[in-house]
Amino acid sequence: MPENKGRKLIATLKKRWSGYNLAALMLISLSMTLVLSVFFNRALSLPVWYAILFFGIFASFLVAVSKSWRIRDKDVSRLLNCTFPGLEESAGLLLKPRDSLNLLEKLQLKKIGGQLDGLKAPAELTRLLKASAIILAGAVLLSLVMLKIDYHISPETAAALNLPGVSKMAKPAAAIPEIASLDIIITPPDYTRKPVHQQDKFALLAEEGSQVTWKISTNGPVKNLHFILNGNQVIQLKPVNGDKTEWVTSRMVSAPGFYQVSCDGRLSDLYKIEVVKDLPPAIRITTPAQYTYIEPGESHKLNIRLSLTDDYGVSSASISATVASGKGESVSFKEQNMAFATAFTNGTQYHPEKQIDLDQLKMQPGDELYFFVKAMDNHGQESRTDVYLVSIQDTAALMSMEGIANGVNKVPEYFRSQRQIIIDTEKLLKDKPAITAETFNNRSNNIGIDQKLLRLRYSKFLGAESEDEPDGTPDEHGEGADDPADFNNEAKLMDQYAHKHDNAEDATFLDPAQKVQMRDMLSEMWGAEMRLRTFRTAEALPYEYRALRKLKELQQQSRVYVAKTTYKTPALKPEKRLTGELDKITDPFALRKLQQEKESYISLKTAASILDGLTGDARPGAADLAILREANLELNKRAAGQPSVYLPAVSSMRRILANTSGNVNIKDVRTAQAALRKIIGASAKLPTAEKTAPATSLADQYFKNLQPGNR
Amino acid sequence: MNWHVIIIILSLALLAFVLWREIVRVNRLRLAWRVAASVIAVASLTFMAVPLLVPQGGPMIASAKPVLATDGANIDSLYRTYQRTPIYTLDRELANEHPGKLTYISDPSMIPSPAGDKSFQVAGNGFTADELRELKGSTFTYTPPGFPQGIISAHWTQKVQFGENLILSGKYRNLSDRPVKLILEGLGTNLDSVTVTPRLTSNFVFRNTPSHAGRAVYLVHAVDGKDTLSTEKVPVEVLKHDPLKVLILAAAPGFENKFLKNWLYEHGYAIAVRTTISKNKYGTEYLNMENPGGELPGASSLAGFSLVIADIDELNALEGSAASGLKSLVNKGMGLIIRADSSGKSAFGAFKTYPSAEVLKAYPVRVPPEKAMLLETEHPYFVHRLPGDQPLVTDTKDRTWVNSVLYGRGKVALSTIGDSYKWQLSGNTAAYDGFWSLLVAKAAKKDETTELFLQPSPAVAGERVVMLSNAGEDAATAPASWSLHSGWMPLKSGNLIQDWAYIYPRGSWKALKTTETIKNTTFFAQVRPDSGSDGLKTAGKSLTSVPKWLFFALFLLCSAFLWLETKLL
Repeated sequence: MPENKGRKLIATLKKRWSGYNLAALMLISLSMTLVLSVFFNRALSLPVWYAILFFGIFASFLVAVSKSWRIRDKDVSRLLNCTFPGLEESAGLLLKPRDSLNLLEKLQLKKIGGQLDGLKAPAELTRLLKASAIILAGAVLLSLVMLKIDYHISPETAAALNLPGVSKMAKPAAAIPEIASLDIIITPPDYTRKPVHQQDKFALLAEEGSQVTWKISTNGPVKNLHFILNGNQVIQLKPVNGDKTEWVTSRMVSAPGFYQVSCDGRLSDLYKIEVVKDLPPAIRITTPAQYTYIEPGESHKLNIRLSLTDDYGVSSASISATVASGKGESVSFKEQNMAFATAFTNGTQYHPEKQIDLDQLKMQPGDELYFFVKAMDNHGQESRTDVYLVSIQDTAALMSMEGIANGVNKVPEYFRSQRQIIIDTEKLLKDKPAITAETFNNRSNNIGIDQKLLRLRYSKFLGAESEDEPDGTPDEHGEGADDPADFNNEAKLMDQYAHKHDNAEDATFLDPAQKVQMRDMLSEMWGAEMRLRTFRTAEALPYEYRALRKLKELQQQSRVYVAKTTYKTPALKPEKRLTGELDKITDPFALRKLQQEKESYISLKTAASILDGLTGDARPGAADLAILREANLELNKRAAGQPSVYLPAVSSMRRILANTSGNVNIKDVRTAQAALRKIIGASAKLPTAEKTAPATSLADQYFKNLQPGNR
Repeated sequence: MNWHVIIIILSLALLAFVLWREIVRVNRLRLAWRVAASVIAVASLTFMAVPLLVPQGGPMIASAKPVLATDGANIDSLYRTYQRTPIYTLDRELANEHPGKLTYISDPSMIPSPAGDKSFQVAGNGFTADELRELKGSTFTYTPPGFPQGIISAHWTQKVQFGENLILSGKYRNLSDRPVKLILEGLGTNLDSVTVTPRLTSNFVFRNTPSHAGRAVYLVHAVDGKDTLSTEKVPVEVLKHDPLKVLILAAAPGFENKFLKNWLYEHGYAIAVRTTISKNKYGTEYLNMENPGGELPGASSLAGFSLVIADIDELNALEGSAASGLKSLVNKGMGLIIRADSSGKSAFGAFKTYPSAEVLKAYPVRVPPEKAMLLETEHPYFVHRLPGDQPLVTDTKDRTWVNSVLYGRGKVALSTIGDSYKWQLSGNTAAYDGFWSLLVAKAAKKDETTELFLQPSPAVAGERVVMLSNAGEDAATAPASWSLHSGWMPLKSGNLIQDWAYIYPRGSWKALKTTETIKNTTFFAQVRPDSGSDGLKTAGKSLTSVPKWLFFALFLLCSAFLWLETKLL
């Protein structure tokens, strides 16, 4: 059937055509995006990810607006008619339902049916796609060209556009008309692995330690050309040719500051020198935590994971570990340096890992491992982390009777039972294969009951005498403090202001920190009890150990306390106090004067006020000028350290000081004042006597008559 | 029958006839237009005979009293409203701006009164306090206009102590539908800002510690989006820091006195310290001052000190002339801060202390004007309140830590805080500075100086100003002057510059000034109400007839249309 075949052909062609055109639209959006993002990135320092945004906007706009990809059957038949004369303008018949065709049409359909087989896809289908490919190629070329162009966007335009990163841009050179061109070559130090770069503006942004070479060519012969660095240091430029039109100087830049070009006595604007410092490598340890306890039964392998970053490159990193073993006076330390498996080849980011086998370090229960990681960057700067501590819990020490055997025993009898519970549990676990399940459960339950009794005994210290489950989270303030229902609760309101006695909570010997510790211990006991009584005896063991450890800690604290109080001072004999012979001892005497007023900013503060008075045609007096000059020196000093912050103020201050005609620019005054304010910072509050009106004779008389003796 | 009614009936008949003729016409083209034209034509014809009265905007005056226009009055509208009433003004500039409409007079008594009661009406913003004083004896009625937008009140301490906060509080009336942002600018920096919601009058407070020393003018901008609505000047003078002379009597060497001594010494205060080391053995230090000679708390050596800070034991140990000398000096105005200890002893007979019932690690202590801060102390005890005392430092439960009473012309304070140095140790120097600044400022001998200032405040260039002092002269009798220039002006007493005052440029603080004059004038008018009938209150809306030529033109236009329309067919 020719019309079936024909309809199929039209459907395929339609699908392909619409697909090609859609692809073409995408290519066009891609070209537009490419050109625009390169432009914005280069000229206005817009981040690259904006490109995705641009592409999204262009693509959706084109797809929405363009009709080229919405192909109808009619369009395909028209295309076929145009492209293939053999179809005799009858491709439209293929689309008509067979029943609606008249005789003539049926005949015609049959005639063209034969033509359909040999049809090739018309070239028109890919026309748009080809065109868009050419556009894309053009766009790529254009962006390559744009990447080479150096953009000089004037700060005014940039400010008007209000784009990020623009503020970094400095004014172009050519402040001095004699200077025809400027070429600055910045050679960063080797370790930065940054290429040599050139620029034609005076404001500098260079890596620390860069070699900077200035090449200045002038319009005509110049007698003298030099830079004034930080307002006090002169850098002479040397003429290269006999005409004295080419000048050159070179200098290593290691500190920020500002400079000014002086050409035969004519001074330029101030230009800033900013220095990018090399930062030491940053180390962040992800595992383990700063204090890690390895409980009995836990693996003795320690995984150290960290991330290392540096701005130019990490050259080495290692772990410095110290094992401390022994007790009391027989503590021994063993130091060890461990390398990472990762090779450090001056990359900027590493994620090294290291597994330390504590057994291999011959660490025994009770020993502690201290370690820190140090790293060095390719500039030789070293940084190290805090010290991390890993300790293996010593169960034997927990079980020891040392505290009981050695004299001072402030600890009541029930402090010992947790140890018994652990021994019982371990025995039960050992006996497990030999006894029936029922006996095991019974014994486990019995230990659980012991644990409960013990827990209840301790909870009495915290004032809790019921069997409530401890919540485990120490909550000092109580929940629902801000419950709206309490808005008018009189008792609650009173709580904040009332002064309460006899608070049961406070009536213990324990301080709050100890209470928190005790509460933690109780929640461990609760965990142990729960597991014992649900016959998960093996699981209960870590809880029991933790409870014991916390108990021990509490015990240690109480021992420290006991040691302090046992010291007894000899009794004072008040009648003998201060009866010694003192007549040969002279009274100490001192006379001191503050050399320099600590309020060193007083001249800056006064300068800020003098500047305020300069608005209008007022001129500063000689004394005021001296103070302003002093402030100017301070501003110069600051600008040398932070040129980007204080340089505008230095320029403003210079214009103000140079102004002899009055009518100082208010903007200069404000800039200088703002900078001074920044230097001054917050002033401390100082006591001053209150002011009062001078007493009149009438008031004096009145006061005298009020005096009891004068009445 | 009334002539007007006859005309209206005749017109209606005519209208009915004309409309009927138009509707029954065979050619129904432009029927609506024709009907409208006919109606308008007949109506115009009618209104040519019967005048059409329409109400007019302004109030109509029943009894015409002479009008006195002041600043802010809408002269054109006044002139239209009071066509038959003469309008006067006391403002020459206003008269020059509206020649022919206003009559300038120099004195309100020159206003002729047709009713014979010498009363008049006032339009506009009214009179300033000074002008009202001149108007004493005259009666007038006054309908205040709406209040203006802007800062309607503002207050700040023009003279700020070294390191003290500048607190500017005020009220802004925002009549617009958009929020207004108020910005405090000082020394080229935006220091603080506040946003006033639309259609609201709200209070605002700016806080800042001035960074300058001496005189400077800060600015308050009112900004609506990007437009600056107004900029007002806020002159601020930071006073020169005047170190005091302080004597410290310590019963034993200790941290508290050592920190206090060093703190005062480093800030340039003249300090004498006597520390008891052993029986009759004293360590003596003179810092930033000469050795005055003589035994230290002796009557002669005590003179010149503004403040004595003494441990309670040391104070009680003083004997004979030293004790009486100290008492008499305190009686004459010197300050005394007693540092109590936990013994509960009392000195100067007044204060009694009691220990705290609860033991906390730190106590929330409130040192005005700051919020409560935590004080770590091992010996918390409090001072009992006394009749006529002034607690200086309390805690959040209102227990007194530092109390003070007047003693003659001086002041005695008792402090139970012996651990304030811990604030410095913990880095909270602001708390330490605040605490001792408060104690010293409250207790130290008052600085008796004459302060001069100008009235009214704010004083605007060209305004009548009076120089007053804190001795309390009467503004009415003080000599007045008129300053032509704005800016800082020295206030002299004799030939000596005593103080500085700021004269604001013309047009400054306009909303504030206008609000004040409106309020003053309203008050003045209410206190002495007009004896006659109040013209403005009985006034209704006035009516005017629409000019007849308008109707004639309309009639011609409509008739022309109807005639042309038949010709076009």
